[in-house]
Amino acid sequence: MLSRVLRTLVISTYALMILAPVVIAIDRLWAVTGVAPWQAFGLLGDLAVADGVLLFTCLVSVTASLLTLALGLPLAIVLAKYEWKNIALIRAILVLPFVCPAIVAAMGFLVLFDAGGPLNYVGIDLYQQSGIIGTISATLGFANVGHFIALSLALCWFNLSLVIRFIEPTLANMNPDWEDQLKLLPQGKSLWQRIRHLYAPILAPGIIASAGLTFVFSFTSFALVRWLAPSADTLETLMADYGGSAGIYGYRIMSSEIVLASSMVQIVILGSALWLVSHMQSLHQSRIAIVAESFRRKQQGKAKLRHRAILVCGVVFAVLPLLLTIISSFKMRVVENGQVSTEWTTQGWSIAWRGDLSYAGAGEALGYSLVYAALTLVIAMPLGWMMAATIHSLEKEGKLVRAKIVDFISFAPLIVSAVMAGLGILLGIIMWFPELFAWFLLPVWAHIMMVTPFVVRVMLPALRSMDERYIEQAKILRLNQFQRFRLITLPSLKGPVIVASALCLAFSLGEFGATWVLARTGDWTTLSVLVDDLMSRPNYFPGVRPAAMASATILMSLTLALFFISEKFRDSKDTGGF
Amino acid sequence: MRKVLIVCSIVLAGTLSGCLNPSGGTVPDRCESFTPTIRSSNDTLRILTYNIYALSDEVVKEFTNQTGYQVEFIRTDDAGGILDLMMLTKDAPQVDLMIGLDNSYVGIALKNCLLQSHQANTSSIDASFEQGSFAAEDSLVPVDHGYVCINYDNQYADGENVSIPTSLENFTEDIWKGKVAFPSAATSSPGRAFMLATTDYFEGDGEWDWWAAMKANEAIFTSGWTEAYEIRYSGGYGQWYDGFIGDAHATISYCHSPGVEAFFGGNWTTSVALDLPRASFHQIEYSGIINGAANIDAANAFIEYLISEEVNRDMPTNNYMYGVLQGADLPETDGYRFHSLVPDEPANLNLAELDIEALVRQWQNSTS
Repeated sequence: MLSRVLRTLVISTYALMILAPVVIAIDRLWAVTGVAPWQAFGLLGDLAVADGVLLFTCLVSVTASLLTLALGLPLAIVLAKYEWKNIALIRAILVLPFVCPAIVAAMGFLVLFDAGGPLNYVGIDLYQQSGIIGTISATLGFANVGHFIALSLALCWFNLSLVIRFIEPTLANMNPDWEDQLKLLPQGKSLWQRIRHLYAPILAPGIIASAGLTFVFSFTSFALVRWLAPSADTLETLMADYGGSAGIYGYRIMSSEIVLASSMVQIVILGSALWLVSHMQSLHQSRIAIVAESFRRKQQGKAKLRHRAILVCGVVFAVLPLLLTIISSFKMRVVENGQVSTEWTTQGWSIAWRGDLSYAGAGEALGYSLVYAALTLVIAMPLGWMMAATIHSLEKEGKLVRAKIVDFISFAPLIVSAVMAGLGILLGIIMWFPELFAWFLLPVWAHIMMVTPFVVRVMLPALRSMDERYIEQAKILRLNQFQRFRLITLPSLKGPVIVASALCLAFSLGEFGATWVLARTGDWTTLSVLVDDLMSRPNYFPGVRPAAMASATILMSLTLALFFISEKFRDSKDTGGF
Repeated sequence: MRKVLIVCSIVLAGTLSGCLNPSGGTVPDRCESFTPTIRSSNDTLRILTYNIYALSDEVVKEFTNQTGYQVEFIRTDDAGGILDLMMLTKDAPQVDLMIGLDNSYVGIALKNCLLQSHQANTSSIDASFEQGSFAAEDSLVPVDHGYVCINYDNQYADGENVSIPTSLENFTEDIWKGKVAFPSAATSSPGRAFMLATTDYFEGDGEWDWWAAMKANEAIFTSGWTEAYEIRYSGGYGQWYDGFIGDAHATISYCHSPGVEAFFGGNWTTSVALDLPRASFHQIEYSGIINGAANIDAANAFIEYLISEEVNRDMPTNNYMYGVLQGADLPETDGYRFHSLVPDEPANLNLAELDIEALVRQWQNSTS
């Protein structure tokens, strides 16, 4: 009885904190437009400003997913099959883009693609579309194909870790005898047959899950689209553009229609994708359970040159945008007598820190970012843990359908975008607590919404793999619930708790979309908003860019430090995907 | 008895010019029935504005030193964002003062009773602002202004290979195909201003055909001024901007934007403002006290500070707009004034009478 009450309480709290703002927002948009949410899908086709936006969003998300698989699978395979020195470090470098704040990634790729950047140097001009990119654009008849490529590449970079995290442990822990045995059978003579009969059944769920998640994160990407493909709109940027005037009775109804239609389409598409991901993750977990031997690397031995080349390319791809961001923070443009040159200086850092070109200095923004991250951790960590425990206990009791439903609810915040989450909070606040409108802690709510699902994703596999016999023995020893938690559960889950906490902090520090929507109602600038703010300043001032890059470097350093801490505590067999 | 008389006189005065609202300010008669909830305030003046660069920390600190009033800001992207937030919090306003709503938006604010009369001394403002669409409104105080018009790159339209346009129709010709960037009239303040100018240029007959012709001529439509000017326009400072494309040789910006380019570019620019009769829009940005403001005295004091010599004279260099004081002009430094255009004949529109939102919808239909 008590556990049922607790479960209900946990799910209700989650629903109230995480889902209520979105429900309120949709209800308000319904009231303003007079269009029921289930009738809103058709609106998107009728609204001229949304013309082609859904197609572009789907196209770029699918391209990014395929590209991520194309680059991520070879990396995961070579990483899993061969012996590597410092494999933990290599793995950490390859997966670090995922925790890198999107705005930092956007800055890194801007430098990579810009007129004086490395790609431009080798003749790839993604923005002004000269040379080969211009030829591609003309051949395809696709305007701004360079922006499309830039965005797809950045999204691929961002999600590369998903493929590696899903595939590498499965392959690394797979008993190589299976392949040897299969080679002796008629169904395993050729490599293609072995892929079909051995690798595909084992890896397919992980591949589909990682591609599905890449699709989801690409579909809702905001900072990368805003900065790398400014000529294009996705559903997310469209909502951000029109969100400010949405949900107001008798005022710019079209804005409300755009946001309602976009959010409903997003919910359906992302809901379907996440349902598939959730299903594939369960299958993936069951595959993992049967391939738990780990001597593959030793049998395969050292990597050949081509395998090393693949890994080196992967590592360079992972770190290049980040390195370029750091380097750019020390480069300042100098124009004298019409001649443009570059000066190496720390002025960008001084400008950023003092806030000479922004309303807040990097120090102040850092303060807000840290306060928001700390508060997010304090609330999201226990909430996500309790939610994971609820799903796990339902599974243990054999209530698999209910467990599945709660699991899906825990995923729900990812179905709505960060921009929609911010908008939901804004409209909900206006409706019930207008006095909180300019409360500086308001963005924390949005951060909790966006971060809690990741806590659930990290804690759930950990809870599932916990040895229950220790708990049973503790019960025999008459330890009470608190003692069992302190002496058994907590030490057993120390690693995942640290991983989840670090991710929580890192994602909160880097959160941009919802903060961008909410920060407009107040004067609270986080580091990610500061970077955007600085880059939006007129570029007359040579200090704009290095100051933005310096702020991005501070943000990047913080999140990467947290990431490396979490990696230290991560179980090498962790297949949770995050 | 004396107190009763005083209260009666205040009420009477209120009813003569308007009505007293719950916060003690005066609103027009038609807004009498609208009584927003006054927020509980900690005596800090809360200002809603866009990223107005003139209001630096130093400027605000000086105001606090002079008056003792603390200030906090809520900043939006642009004038449209200011109106959005005012509308969103209409029933329970969370700010005291708005700064930056321009004459293409302010009609909606007035119609929705979002502003109340001010008591600031505005005698320093140039007399020219006593005329125009909203000059009679005692809830609006102009703080800066400028003209919005087409800017073109003279390295493309050099007068030899490509003629300098002499009419808007010229832009529908092949030579301008895909080379003009327009910020959206729905989401951009300059875009909205220029759209309004075209209604006067074509005298209400043919403007939508022209916009449709521009669409057919592959004009580039962007959601905001930033993308049109910084990413697409070849004649501006966008060349320093990451992601710069530079495929548009004409765009919509302020007629003094070339002056700003020269000011920051060492008296060098390739950008020129195009002076076509009635194809430019005189944009005036206002400040106003929110109907339902909690700190009216502080708001009045800040308005006076905004139009003081020490703040308003620096508008051209701090906010890249003309100041509103008598004799205000642009500085001559580095060609700022030389490269800035004051249109001979800007659009003449009665903005108070226009249904601008309906025009925006028509614009959207024509350009999609």
